Amino acid sequence: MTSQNVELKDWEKQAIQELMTQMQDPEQSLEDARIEDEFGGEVEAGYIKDHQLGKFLSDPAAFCEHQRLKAIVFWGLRQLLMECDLGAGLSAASASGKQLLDERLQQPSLDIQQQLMAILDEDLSSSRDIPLSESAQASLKQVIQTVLSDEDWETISAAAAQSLQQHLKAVVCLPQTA
Amino acid sequence: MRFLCIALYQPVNFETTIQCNVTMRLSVELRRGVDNQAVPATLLSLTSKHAEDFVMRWRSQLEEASQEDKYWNWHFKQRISETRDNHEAYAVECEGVTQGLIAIETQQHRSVLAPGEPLVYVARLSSAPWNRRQIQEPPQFRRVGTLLLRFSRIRSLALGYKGRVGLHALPNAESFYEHRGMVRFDFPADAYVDDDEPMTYFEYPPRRR
Repeated sequence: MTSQNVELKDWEKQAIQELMTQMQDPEQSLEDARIEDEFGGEVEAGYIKDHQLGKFLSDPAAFCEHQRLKAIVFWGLRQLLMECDLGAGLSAASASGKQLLDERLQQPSLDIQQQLMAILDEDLSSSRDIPLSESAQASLKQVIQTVLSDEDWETISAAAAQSLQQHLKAVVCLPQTA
Repeated sequence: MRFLCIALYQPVNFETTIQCNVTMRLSVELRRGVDNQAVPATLLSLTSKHAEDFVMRWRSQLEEASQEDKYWNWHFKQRISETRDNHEAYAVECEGVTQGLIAIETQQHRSVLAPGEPLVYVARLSSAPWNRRQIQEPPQFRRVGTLLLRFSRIRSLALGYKGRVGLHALPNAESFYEHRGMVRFDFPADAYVDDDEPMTYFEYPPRRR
């Protein structure tokens, strides 16, 4: 635990005490449970993925290329979805699309593999500040459209619609909770 | 010697055992999923028992449900929280079982809302698989995540960071953090150049005076 000797102001001490009291307050407890329930009950947070360290150590160069290719493909998906003007549904559509793309690209056809390798080659041979060429972007878009099936696009649309619906309900019907 | 900053303000129900480090224990209240009844629980410093619970009790269920946090290494978080001043980790225990886990970093992260200002960064926050509606309906206990998040805010205030807390939410948890009053940041996807899964960043602004 942090060894910082901090001199706090009265309002800070009071704020700590308020939050501490809320930890045991029955009314607050009911309200917290309600909010968790209302917004899906999922609370997980965290950024780094421990399980990827082993993959990296086993073959750093290949791992980095693999990660870069995934980043490019996901960027391409995001660009495609942004063209659809999904508003509050964009994040959900993107999350759903990434999951599906991840699955569909586990064993891609030879043709798709060649297209992706050409895109990756172009990306790796140029500076990070330089965006993909228009032809590479068009190729990436075509790969994504080919790899994802009609059913996949239905799933992505449904995710966006559901998210938009929740957003609308939260903004219009329900008070925002601090 | 490490010490517990919060203990300086004599909050209720804090029992501190100062040896070479500090064991933190705070009585809290959960809600049972089936009947919404109050259930006493404890928020305390992470021990090897909690990390072991993750491996032995949580992991198989997380794997089965393809949860993103299934490979998180809480033994590592426990060790680093014991050896580094800027890492802390806590657990919520109820009925003898670990119900939730949090790991925070307290010195190296900076605010996006107020650039340059320090904040408490939530490196990991997980609830037990049986407390997730996606896996079990109704969940065994509600409120685990909320308590851990609130505790991170308490730590931020105690460290003089005015309540600033930052975290990256897993995709299914985004709406929860939005509705807990955190500010959402959707950085452009290409800001995450080498990351395979850009995640949404949330930040608690400072508490009002």
